[in-house]
Amino acid sequence: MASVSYRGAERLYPGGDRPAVADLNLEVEDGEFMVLVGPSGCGKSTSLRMLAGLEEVTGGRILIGDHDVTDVPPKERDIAMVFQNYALYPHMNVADNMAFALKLAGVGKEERMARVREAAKLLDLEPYLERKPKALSGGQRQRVAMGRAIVRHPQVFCMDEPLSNLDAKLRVSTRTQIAALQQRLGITTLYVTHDQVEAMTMGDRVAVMKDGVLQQVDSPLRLYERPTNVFVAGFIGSPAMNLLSAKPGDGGVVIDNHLLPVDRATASKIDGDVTVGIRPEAWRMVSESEGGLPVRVTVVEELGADAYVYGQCDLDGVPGQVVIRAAAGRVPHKGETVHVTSDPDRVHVFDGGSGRRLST
Amino acid sequence: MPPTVRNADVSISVAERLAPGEAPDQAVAREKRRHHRQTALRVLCIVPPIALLGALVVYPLANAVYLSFTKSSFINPDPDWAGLANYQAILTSDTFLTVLKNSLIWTVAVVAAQFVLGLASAILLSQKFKGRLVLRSMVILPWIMPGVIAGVLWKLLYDPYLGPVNAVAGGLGLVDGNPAWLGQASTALAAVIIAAIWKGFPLSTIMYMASYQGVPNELREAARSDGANAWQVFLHVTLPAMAPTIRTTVLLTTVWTFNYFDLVYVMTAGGPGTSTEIFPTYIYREAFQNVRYGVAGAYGVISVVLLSIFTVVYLRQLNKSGGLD
Repeated sequence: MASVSYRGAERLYPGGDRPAVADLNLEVEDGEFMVLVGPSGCGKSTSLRMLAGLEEVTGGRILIGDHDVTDVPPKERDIAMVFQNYALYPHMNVADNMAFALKLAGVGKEERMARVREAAKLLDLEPYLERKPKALSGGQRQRVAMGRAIVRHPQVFCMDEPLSNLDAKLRVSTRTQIAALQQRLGITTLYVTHDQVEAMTMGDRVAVMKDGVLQQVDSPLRLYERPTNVFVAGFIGSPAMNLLSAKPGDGGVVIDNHLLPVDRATASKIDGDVTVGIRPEAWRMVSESEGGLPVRVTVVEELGADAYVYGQCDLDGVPGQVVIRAAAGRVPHKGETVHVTSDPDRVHVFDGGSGRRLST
Repeated sequence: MPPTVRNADVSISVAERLAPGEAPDQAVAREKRRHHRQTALRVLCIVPPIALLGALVVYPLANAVYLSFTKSSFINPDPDWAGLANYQAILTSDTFLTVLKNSLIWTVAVVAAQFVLGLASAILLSQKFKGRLVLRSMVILPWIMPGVIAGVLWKLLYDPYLGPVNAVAGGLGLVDGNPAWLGQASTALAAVIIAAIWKGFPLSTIMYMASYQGVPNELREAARSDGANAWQVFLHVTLPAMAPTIRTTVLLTTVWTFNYFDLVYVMTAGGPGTSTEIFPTYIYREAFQNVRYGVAGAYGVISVVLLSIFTVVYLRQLNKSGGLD
């Protein structure tokens, strides 16, 4: 087991004008479950593949423990990779697939089989050891891919969107299984996904990337509560945070004549236009006289305990759709107009130009 | 099954489809008529293909087998029944052993070399380098060239006095004088085999190239992170993934090579002596030069039997190791 450090790591493709991964600095602690998340093309998979040795590192260093692996071939890195399409060897049965790395490493047959059986037991694969991958279901294949990584007792697990080929229900249950398994084995894990729900539910910490640049690394809760910029604010959370354009005002920010209060420390930092972020649950419905933003309800999603209310607000600076979480019993009807505002401590303020967080 | 029971079954099945005012047994009769009409139509549809197959495959095959039991000659070309005399003569003759030996050496050497050369060139041509497209189109040239032309070309290449083979080999000091590669029994078969390898390997190249590129890169990457070096990746991942294509291609090239005629005929016509005589060339010689249809027919039957045995054994072996898929 070991920690992983990216030190200014960069991947520039030949002929590319912009690196796919630029100056990545990331420390993953020993035994930590780190999730790399971001939209497609953000460089998260490339970063993972750089660690696995499948992608050349064109600048900076990558360390596993104290060992600089930047120029070390994959087979000497002691890393196990789980691929999106599982990459099971089609001509080998499940047991041979799982034992392949051990065989290459010269592990004796008896120990090989013992370790395969141990992993198979852990993953409920015992009845399928003799089967070829094509005779397995998607979920079983996924577990074989996991098993292939587990039997090696590697220093680091690299997982590249391992759940994206499963159906929604299986994805949710496998998600918890993987997280539990990782915790039990205590092996340092880098996990790539584009699904922010996966990232939030699985990771000890989450690294959000965009356009090859690391935006923020934090615990899921910190990411949610204190996004470092507009991108992270909009990316993390489902439904997404409402982002509104505003101008500085007296004791708060002004959205087309409507004042939204912000705390004093934040207000003092505001210098020009800002972007205001308000989570769906941070809205508070008020009466018209209290001066909230008028929102005409277009869709109501009843979830039982509460409801997501989607509406339009025809003010300058407000996006096409506003999302409000309403508690059960206080859910407005379609077509109704409600007035909403928020509280200073629940309003995120970002610089209008750079998008950086201004709120304390 | 007694007919009454059958009628009862039919009446149950048609009971729900009675026409207005129709009794159940009328409906049964109607269904029977419909059934007969359908059968007649099916028979009518099957007749043409069967007739065509019969005229094009069964008749010539049967006639060849019949001929193999007859005797004929240049003086007396009408076949006379001879029983097993042809087979008896062939199986005890030295010529048959020579033809069999030549055919085996020829087929094994050509197929093996085409496999190795095809695989190697396929992998090379799948790498990224400048001029790859040009080279890929050029590599197919031997295969699209007619066998007769390839034969003439190689005859020129091997020409003792004018051919570039001797010019190069002589220049490098590898040979003395002007050996006639096709003119001496010791080298003729090898010389023809080399030409046949050249002529046929592009097909293997194309098959293996398609197959090589169809192996998902993720598999190779998985093997690399599993600790495999380049050779182990090829041996344990790429090659097994290509196996279905390799099996099919080897089977096809074996059958084609065993039956290959024009190249050998143009280059040596089976000579000198019988040194390059393989089944197809020898059958041609017996049938159309010696006008011994019976002997030619018997050789033909023997070669089909040999090839069938090979194919059956090969396919059996395949099914044991995963079949063609």
